[in-house]
Amino acid sequence: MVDALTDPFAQSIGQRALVEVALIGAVAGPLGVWVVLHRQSYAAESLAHAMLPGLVGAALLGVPLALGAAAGLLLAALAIAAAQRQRAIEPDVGVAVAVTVLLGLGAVLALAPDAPQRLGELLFGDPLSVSHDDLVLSGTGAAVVLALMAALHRPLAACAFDPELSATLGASARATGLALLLLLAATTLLAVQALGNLLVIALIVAPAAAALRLTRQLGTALAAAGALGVLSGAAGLYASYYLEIAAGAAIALAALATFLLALLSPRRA
Amino acid sequence: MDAALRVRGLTAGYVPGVPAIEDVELDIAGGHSLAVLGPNGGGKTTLFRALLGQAPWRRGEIEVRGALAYVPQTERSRLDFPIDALGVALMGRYGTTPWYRRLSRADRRAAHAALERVGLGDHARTPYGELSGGQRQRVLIARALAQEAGVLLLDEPMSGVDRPSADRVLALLAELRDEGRIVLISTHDIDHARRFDGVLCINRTQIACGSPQDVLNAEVLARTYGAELVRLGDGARAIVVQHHTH
Repeated sequence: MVDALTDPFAQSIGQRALVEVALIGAVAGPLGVWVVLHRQSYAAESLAHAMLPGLVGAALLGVPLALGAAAGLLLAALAIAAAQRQRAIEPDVGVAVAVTVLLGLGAVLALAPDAPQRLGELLFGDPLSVSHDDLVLSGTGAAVVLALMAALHRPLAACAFDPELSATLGASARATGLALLLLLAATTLLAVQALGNLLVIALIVAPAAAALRLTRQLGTALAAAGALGVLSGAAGLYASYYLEIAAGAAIALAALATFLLALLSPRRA
Repeated sequence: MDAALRVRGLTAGYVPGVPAIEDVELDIAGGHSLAVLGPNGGGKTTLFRALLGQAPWRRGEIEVRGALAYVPQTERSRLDFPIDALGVALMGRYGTTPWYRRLSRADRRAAHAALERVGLGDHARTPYGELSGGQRQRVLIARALAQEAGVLLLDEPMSGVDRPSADRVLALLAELRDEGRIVLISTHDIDHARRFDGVLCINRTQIACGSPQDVLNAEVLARTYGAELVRLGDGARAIVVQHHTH
């Protein structure tokens, strides 16, 4: 029994994968709580998808993927923020247009004759490919994002609870909304290598939705979402090892399973 | 508490050059309450936003002594937000501390005291979404008290609240006024307006402003509500037909 639990992590490759997904889960969970409370799940998904041109661009130019992802995300975050501010159209429509343009641009680049054959990895990720240096980067990034989330706790709460009124409570809805998108971009960047830009959203939204279903205390929800995120990561790696399925996809499915289980639980007390 | 509010020639709106309210004049000293009466779309919300400095454009003068706090309608609250009554009251302290600093014990005590003040000290840990409409309204008032407001602006505080709760909210507002604050509410209910020291009738422009006895007459109400006013057979009472547009 103990062997069955430790086998997947006997090798350093498995250990590194476990640490990586635990770091991602611990950040993505609480961030997801804010994303859900700010009703930005759609923007979050869009942001992750819209960074494809940056990833493909990096692959084409031969620069580190993280750099391309960062550039792509920054572009996507700004495009989405700008699209949401257009008063002439609904925010949803603006985001959809921005994302489709960026995804299309990514596809054009990816299907170019001299593009490397790595599109699958960019889209679906591979936690088993994580190096020691990647882990150091993830750990640092995770610490920074968690610290910023803690510092921004009150503006994030005020703007989610009272979007129209937040200014009279001393929080700028516009600045806070932009900060949330940037935190989201940073988290997506952290997670892209392990989970890919199509699956990362599962680990952001599902544990958070589950936690919000289970508790009515904000602090508890933030902590529970982090714990469920870590749990999803570990469960996904086990499933990947024993069922021989893709690790990134297994983690995304495990995260969705936490949400389905939360739906079955009695209504939060 | 020494609050005061003076408004001269206030014109404000959402699009420059297209006023939603014009030429509003107000003079209120601390310890007085005022009901802003008017039809939906008549400019009540715009007036409050202009007073809070949140109207996209405005002309005229506003002089305020004492902090302003806005109390939104409970019907607009997010009931799914994971927060308890104390957490909402504590939001009143957010503006006093920079975002990166922790709130102090004194802030928590102030939020607790504000909840006690509105009679909800026992409900500090109750999830906001599980409170009744009247209790939620009082929690939002507690949040304004935690902001140490000298001037309270309440948007339709009796809407979505049952009658006993509405009476309780009105009694609480009278107490807060007696402590020297200025209490402004917006309402479309003439009977509620009657219970305030002053009434401002507004329908894009200021129709009348004065004591309820002077202002609440058939002529002023007809000009305030126009075609929305329905006269009953006995001629003594008027009811307002509300056209809700949501």
